[in-house]
Amino acid sequence: MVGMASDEEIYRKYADELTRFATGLVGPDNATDAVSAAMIGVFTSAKWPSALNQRAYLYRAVLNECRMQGRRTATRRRYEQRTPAAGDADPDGAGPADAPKPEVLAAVLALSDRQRAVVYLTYWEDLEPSRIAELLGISDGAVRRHLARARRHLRKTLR
Amino acid sequence: MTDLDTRIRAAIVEIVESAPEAPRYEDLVHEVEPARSHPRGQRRSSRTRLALIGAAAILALVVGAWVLTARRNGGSTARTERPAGSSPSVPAAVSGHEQRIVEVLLPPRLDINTSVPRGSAWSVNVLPGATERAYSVDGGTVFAVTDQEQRGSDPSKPMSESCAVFPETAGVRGHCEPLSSVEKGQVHAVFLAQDFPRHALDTTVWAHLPGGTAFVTFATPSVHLWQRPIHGTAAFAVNVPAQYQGRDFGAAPKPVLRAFSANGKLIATVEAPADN
Repeated sequence: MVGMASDEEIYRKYADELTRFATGLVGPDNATDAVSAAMIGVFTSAKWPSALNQRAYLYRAVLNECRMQGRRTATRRRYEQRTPAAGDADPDGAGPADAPKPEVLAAVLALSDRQRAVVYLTYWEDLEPSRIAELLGISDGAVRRHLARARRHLRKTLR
Repeated sequence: MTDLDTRIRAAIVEIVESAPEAPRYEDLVHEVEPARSHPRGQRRSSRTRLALIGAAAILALVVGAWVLTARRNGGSTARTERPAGSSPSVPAAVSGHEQRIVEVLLPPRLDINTSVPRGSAWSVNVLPGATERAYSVDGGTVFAVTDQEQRGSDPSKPMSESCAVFPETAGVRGHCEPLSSVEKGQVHAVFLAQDFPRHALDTTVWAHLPGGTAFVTFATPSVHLWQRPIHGTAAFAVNVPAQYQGRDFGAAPKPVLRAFSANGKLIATVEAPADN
């Protein structure tokens, strides 16, 4: 008899791809926190044991957590703009060596959460709209709309 | 593949290649119950199950008693058909139908002490002196409201914020505004929750209502509701009009909320967010 996979086995199977997904949504600095929070939410959820499509469930959990963190980040940004702390500025204007270029990150982070999710799954995972729709729990049409709007936005910003 | 596709792919690759290592499972497990590594479906101990059943039974009794009381008083469970203004206790300026808000037991899923991971780079705690409270509106939607302190990657810069927390498809979602701005009246703590991805029900919450607020109204071109807030919080759960369901968020007209004093004096007007 084949036993059901434990949470640990499931997590180990999907952890890397979920972290990449979160990076595409909230950037490398917040991805680990987003995945951690999402997974804890999943593993303590009463619905998780009965989830039929575990991968889709995990993707939606990470997307939801990233949306929540995005809101917090936006709030924090507004807050910090009002209360600048001395020594905040990076004198070199350079981040970590492996960080994406600020203009590239800014262009992608300027998309809505759902647009970013669709762009990531299209261009990194090479998924068809129907598969993306299944993962995110939205319609094919919504996926195509989000992708079209994201492309229109990125056309202007990624020059 | 077009040139635009190439540029987008390059941007995504650039971002994703900066992905950090996935969090270690061992770092997650101490945050959740010890039975975490048991096979799925066998996770909850019988003691936990009994506790959950007990809590559910108590909640059912409380809700049942409340429903009976409401019916005895001539109301319905969620929304009375008695228009405002017809009762001497409701000023004429408060129009529409009543939608009630009640305080309920704080579900663990929304409890900041159990639903927020501990030990990660950021932490969130209820502010000293504040209380996280859960509410049910229209006999259904349950959400929590709290004032919290968030410490992010730089713990020396904590941020105090007023938040509403809602359950979502998987996990929960919080909406926050800086508490100092709310207290100074620079922004209103008005939050919108949409049942992503279905988007058939919008819940609008107004926390930190101005002092002296006794009634809050909610108005769209087709819906007019009013409510007696509790603990300085009002909330309205409204079905999204069919033509906007499943469409992009923010397409429907923005509701307008108004706070009134007990004698019907308008205290504040705020436009609800169209998107969250």
